[in-house]
Amino acid sequence: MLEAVRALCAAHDVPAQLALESGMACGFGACFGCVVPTREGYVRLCVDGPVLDAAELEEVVAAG
Amino acid sequence: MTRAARNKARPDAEHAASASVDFCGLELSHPIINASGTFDAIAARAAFGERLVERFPFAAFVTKTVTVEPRQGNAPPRLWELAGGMINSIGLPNKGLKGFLSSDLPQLAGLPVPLIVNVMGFTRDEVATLVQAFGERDEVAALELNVSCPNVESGLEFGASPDELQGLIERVRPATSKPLIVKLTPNATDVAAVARAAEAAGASALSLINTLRGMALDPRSGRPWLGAVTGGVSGPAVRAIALAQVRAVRAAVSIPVVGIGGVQRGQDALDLLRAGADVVAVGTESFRDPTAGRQIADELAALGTT
Repeated sequence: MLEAVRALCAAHDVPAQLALESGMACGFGACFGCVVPTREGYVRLCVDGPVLDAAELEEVVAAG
Repeated sequence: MTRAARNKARPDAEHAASASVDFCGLELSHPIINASGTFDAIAARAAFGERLVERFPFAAFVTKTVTVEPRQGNAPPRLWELAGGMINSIGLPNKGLKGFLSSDLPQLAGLPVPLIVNVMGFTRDEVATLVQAFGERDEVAALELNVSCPNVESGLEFGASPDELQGLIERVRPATSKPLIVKLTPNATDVAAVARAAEAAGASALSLINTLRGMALDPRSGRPWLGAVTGGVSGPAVRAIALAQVRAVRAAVSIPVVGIGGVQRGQDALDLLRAGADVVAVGTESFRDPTAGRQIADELAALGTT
C-alpha cells in the first residue's frame, strides 16, 4: 500500500510522508539492522525514520 | 544509608577493584567487554545521554569493524529472529578508515575505558594499512582483526585455514606494537589448529566465537529471508558451541582468550571464564538492553564473592 501511495503521489507531484516498518535489533542506531534503501543510500528507520519523505524513496520495498 | 545498603545498591562499586583484569597489558576494571558491532558508544550517547557513557557498561569498548573504504552494507532485510537468538547479515557498513579517523575517533577518545578498534581488509596489504593507521594513534589501546565475518562475499576467508591466517598475521604483526587480538571464526574445520597458527604468527590474544553461518526462509515466498541469503547466528543458541570452542582453544594456546557467545547473565560469563577465557564479551544481549554489560559484570562479581 505504501508503494502505491508513493507512486501515486510521485505521478501527481503531491508531497507525501510515509511511515515505514522494519525489524530492529537495537532500536537506537547501533546495529544497522533496520535500514531501507533511499536515494541517499541506506537509512536506519530507528534513528532517521520511521517517517520518511516519499521523495527520498525510489520505491518502498516490503521486507521479504 | 548504611555502608552495607550502599554496597547492595551499587554492587559494582565494591567489586570493581577485586575484579580488575590485566588483558594484554590493558587494565580492565572488570572482565566484561562488548562484542564488535553489537554496541555503539556514539549512538548510545546520542540516544541515552552522557550518563550511559559515564557509567559505561563495558570495561573496554570494541568498535564496529572498520574497513579501508566506506561500505554501505548488505541489502535488507538484514535481521531474522530465532527462538534462541538471531541471524544478522549487516555487511559491515562503516565510514571507512578516513571517515572513522576524522569523525568517530575524536568522539571515542573521551570514553572512560580502553578503546579497541576492530578492522577488516580484503587483502593482506589492506589489513596492514589499517593496523598501521590505528597503531599510530594514542587513543587506540589495541586492535582486533576480523578474519571471520561470514556476511561479506570477500572470496577470502583468512580465518578458516591455519596457513591463510598465519600468512596474514605475519604480514601485519610488524605494523604495530599494540596488542593484536585475532577474532576467530567458528566456521573452521579445526579451530584449535587455527588458534595455534595465530599464536605462532604473533597474535597477542584470540577472541571467539564469531557468528555461525545460518539461513532463514521467508514462510510466504519460500525464498531466503535475508538480502544476503545467509547471515551470522548469534545469541543463547550458540552458547554451548562457544564453550566447547573456548575450551579447545584454551588447551591449544597460552595467549589470552576473549570468550564470546550467547552471554546473557553473570553465570554465562562465569562458564566461559571456567572454560578458559580471560575476558568475556557480550554481544546480542546488548540489543535487548544496552546496559546489559554492566548488569552481567555485577552478577559475575557477586558470583565470584560467594
